[in-house]
Amino acid sequence: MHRPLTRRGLLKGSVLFVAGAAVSACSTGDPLAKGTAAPAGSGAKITLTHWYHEYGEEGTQQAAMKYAADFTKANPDIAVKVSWIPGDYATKWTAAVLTPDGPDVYEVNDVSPNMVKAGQVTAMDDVLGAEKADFNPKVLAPYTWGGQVYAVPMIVDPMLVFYRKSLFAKAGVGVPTSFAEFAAAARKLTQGKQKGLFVGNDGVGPLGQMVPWSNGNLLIDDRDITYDDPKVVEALTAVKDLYDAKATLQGYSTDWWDPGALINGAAAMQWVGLWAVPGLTEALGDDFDAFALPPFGPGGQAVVNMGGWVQVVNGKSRNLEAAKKYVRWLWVENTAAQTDWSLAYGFHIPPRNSAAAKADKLNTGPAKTVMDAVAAHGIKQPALWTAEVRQPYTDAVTAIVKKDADAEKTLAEAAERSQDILDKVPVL
Amino acid sequence: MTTAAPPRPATGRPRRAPGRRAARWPAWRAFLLLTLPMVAGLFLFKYVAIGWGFLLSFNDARGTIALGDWNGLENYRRLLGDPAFTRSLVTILLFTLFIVPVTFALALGLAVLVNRLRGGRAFFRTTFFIPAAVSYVVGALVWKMSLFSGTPSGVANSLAYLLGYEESIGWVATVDPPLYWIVLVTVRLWLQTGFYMILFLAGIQQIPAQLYEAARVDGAESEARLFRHITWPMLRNTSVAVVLLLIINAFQAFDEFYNILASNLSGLGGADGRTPLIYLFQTALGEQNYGAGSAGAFVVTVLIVVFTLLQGRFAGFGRSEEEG
Repeated sequence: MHRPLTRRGLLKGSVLFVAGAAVSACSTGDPLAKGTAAPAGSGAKITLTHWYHEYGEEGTQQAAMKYAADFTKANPDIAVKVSWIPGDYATKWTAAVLTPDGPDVYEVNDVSPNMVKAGQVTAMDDVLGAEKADFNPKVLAPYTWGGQVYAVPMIVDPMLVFYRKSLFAKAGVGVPTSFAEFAAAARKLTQGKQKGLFVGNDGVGPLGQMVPWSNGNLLIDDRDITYDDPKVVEALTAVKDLYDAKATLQGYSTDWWDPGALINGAAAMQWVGLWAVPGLTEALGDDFDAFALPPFGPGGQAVVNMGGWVQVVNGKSRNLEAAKKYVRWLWVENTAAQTDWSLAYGFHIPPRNSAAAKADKLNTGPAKTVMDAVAAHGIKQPALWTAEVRQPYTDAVTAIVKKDADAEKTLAEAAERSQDILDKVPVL
Repeated sequence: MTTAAPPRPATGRPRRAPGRRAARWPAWRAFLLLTLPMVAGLFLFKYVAIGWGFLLSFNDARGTIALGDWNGLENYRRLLGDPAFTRSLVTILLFTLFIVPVTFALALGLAVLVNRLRGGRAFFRTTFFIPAAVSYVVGALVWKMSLFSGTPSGVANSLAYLLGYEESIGWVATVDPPLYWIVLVTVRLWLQTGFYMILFLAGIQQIPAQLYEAARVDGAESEARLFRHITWPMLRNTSVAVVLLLIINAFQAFDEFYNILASNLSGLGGADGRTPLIYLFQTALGEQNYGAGSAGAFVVTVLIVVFTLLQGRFAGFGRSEEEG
């Protein structure tokens, strides 16, 4: 150095340093993404960002990146950057789509009228095109607002009860045909360190919603809250008895969507989805099967909950046309990729009827049981049963099942609140 | 959510700079240059955001953070009319009323004990302080999945088994009796006590040894009397600062509640143990109602300010030692 650093020089330097750090911090895109694929082909004019939640099965992330790379090969102008978002995916995309830098394409479970109104999604009728007729209408319905479809279904995930055949045989329990039998089975299978049933770490999980369904009340009917009803009271009282019997596993290291508890014998029955079948087969061979949640009683209905993920295109995307083109290429036209995505890792039902019909892997063993149950008892959650609308209900369920609250009164109060919130949802 | 930087315990003796107000422009320029980036950052990323949030709280902002759809006090009305929100306020009040005195007593007790050690003081000081370096998320997950897991192999359940209680307990899931509080309270105590112990330790070491010697000469033999008449009054400023920090931290409780009670894919936990911040997180990010979320943030802020002022009034925060 020719001259010592002066105080002024130091000041200038530090200001520049801070400014530089601030600028570079701002320009580091996507700090949330765990792994991102560098867009292939540097000649691309447009780069789309595509967000996935973290799928648990091995190989899924690589597959998603491969589809994106294949698309760029076919369309050299458009590169796709895949972001794999671990953890609490929902709160991350909701925050990201508020900014102009949100993902162009992302996956969600539900599309609410508020999302449509805020431009977080865009109409996909032209993306679905002529193939629209090939999609299961039951699956498209909750994403349809004002006559337009706002999503392309990627996978359908049926959820129901899985059980260990050997444990059933040992305890002398058959597949239950009513909720009373189901609860009795759970009690009988609770022995030593094994619990009868795992439905979630809070001990109630999806039962709070599914058991009323099985008693013939879907809790909501279009724009009316219907859960202030003796049928729901009856169902929740039965769930409470089951909870009080200490036959449900609580506080396990993984939650209900992971088949770990069933594999390790911590529970003999578990509420989980079709996706778990490959993992279960690998760990248990053919020592497991599934059944729909039985009808609550006479007049009830068996229940398989039809969840799943759909692709949406951000209405505020700067590359709307390219994004639509990509979604059409991958989730409408590219049946090979769809079949790979649905059947090569965890199992899911391909939403296109023609692809589902050709899905041979779903035609054997427990997967076949699930498919039959879906055909007979599949129920899709009503579209307006959004997080906001159902919060008073889930609180009421906790109070009734876990804290002896008066069921009728609690439900009536909650229903009033849910109805209030529902009334504020815009009509499209 | 994040702990504020520890303020140094006030050491009394206000020092007032001599009133030389000569025009010392270069010094001012240096001051501005050095502080400006920090102040600008603070202004841009904190105060603008806070101001925007305040305006947003008077808007019907669903799925957007743009202003324009003004709806007056509707968001505040909605919040205060929601039993879930008022219940969360009661939850956090009870939590604060419990966790503040308990942490205070434990931290002070540990500080006095560690200070009295003849050997190994540094060792114990470090040992007790180490949990403060653990993130709340990590602590919460260890508590949830290892210590208080609901399986028979969980540490707490293994202990219960040894004590002859054969049924495995779902600690986090049990709300009646509210066993989940044991999990929440113990993790917070483990994580924060060491930090406040260090504050107290620093305070204790500031007390001149002559005071104790003089008291002993005057016949104050028992440790309890020395503590009551010397240590405790001399620690007043530290105590006030500690209580202040504890209250603010307790009101902002989020991390361990979120990580222990929620199961991260299925949304947030149930009605029990829902703190105001969890409720607001759910409202703003889960339901995309940013107007109501912002309104709630201001309700919680007002509560914190009120509590701080009340506490300052009773404890005499800001009064100098000479006055007190």
